[in-house]
Amino acid sequence: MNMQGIVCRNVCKQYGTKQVLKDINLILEKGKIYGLIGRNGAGKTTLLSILSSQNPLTSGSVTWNGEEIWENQRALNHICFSRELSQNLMGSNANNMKVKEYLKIASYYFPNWDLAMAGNLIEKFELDIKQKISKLSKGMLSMVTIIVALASKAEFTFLDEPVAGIDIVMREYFYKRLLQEYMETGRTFIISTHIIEEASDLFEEVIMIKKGELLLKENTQELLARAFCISGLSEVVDQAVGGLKTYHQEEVGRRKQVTVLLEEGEHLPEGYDITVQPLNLQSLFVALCGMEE
Amino acid sequence: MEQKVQKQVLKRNILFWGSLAEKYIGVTFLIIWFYVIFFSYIGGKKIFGTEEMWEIWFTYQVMLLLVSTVVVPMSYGMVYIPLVMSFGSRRDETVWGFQIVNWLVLGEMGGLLVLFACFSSLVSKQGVCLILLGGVIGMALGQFSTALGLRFGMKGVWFVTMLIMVLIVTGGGVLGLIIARMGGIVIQQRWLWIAAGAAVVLYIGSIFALRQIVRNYEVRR
Repeated sequence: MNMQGIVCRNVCKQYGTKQVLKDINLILEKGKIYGLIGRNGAGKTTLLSILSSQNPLTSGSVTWNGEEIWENQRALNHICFSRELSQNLMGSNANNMKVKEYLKIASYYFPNWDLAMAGNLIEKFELDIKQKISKLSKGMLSMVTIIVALASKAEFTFLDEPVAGIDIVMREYFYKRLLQEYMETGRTFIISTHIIEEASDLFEEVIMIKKGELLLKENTQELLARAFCISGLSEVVDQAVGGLKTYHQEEVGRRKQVTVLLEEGEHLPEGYDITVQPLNLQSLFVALCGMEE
Repeated sequence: MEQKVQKQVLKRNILFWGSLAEKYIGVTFLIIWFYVIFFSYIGGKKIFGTEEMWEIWFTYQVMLLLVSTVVVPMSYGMVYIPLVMSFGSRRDETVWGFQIVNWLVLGEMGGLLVLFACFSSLVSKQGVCLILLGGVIGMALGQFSTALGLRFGMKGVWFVTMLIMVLIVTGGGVLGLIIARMGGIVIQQRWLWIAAGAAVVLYIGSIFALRQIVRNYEVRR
């Protein structure tokens, strides 16, 4: 097995009797952009937190290049988890902390901090660094998160909801800038987001989590190449997809629509009066992780 | 750990926690000017340069030292310990780095205390030592409070804060008397050693408690 990168083996996280993460086995290779998607409460932030040693795991192991990450400075020097900030940063005592101070502290702790890049991003985002964190809007807090993530120059950078509250113009700029950084440096990014369709073009691989379990981890294009929406008359659809595993069935009158994810060796049904459409990542996610009927 | 990484860790802790102490110390210099301007002209009577002035400065510096050594760990710990861990600081490193700001503040407060004591004939060496040990105990209390705060949230901090307030209110008069008299106290050497031992034990206990909490702490924001 390739030991390069971050490897999770049987990672579990439990709070009392509630199991938040169950047997997560994952390899995060260097030089890729991963999309981490899942519903609220699925365990995305908990997983990122564990991967960056900010949350102790209950069982299992997380290694970086074969070394345990926990309390390992060599490993931590290569990891940045830029989490979603809140105005109530670390409790009420931090209400007076300014953006300038927050970024300065970040620069002390990330050994490869790029001051020029941070300055450039502050300018592009039109961020007032003399403003207190507690006074920032949700979008501005996200901008601070992005600045830390990009300027850290960490080999493995985790971003948790980086575009929450940001307008479309800045979001487009962020995606472009992230891609530019990726092309120039080959850094690994793991981006957790709910705005799936917008960001899906960035994702080389997608990691889908459902109720604390790893549903899939796959190359995005390969995944989408085997995901289809099949629709038609209910009886015809049922015949056509017989033997295939189906997700998210919708029936309207006599018509039915199902999602199929072809496994190895399976093929699309032929010779039936049905409509077959490829799916985008967002639709596939809804089909696989949507509300259970 | 490689030497390069060790140096990097040492440098960032000195830079960061040192800068926090510098910020706090900057505030105390403002307070000193307050001493100079206000208390030197107390009651309309100019006492600047007199023994009375040094005694007043000494008394207020005792209170400032004792309050600072409790408040600094309490307020800084809850904010900055989770923050530096969110930036990749190891847990043990965070606890040890945190001691830098505590000792720098005690050092500065203690330095001023000694300075004022030098010019007051009523202040004894043992009194100054006892007050400095009081500062160490204050640091320990502050760190216990931080540990409780990290573990139980603001409820933990409020519990200790209320406890301290109750002690001050109920024993305020006695405390004031002790503070006023402590500077001039003369006791047997062995009691000083016992007090030193108690302060050290409490302080080490507070580091141990903080370390235990921080080791399992989950950074959330």
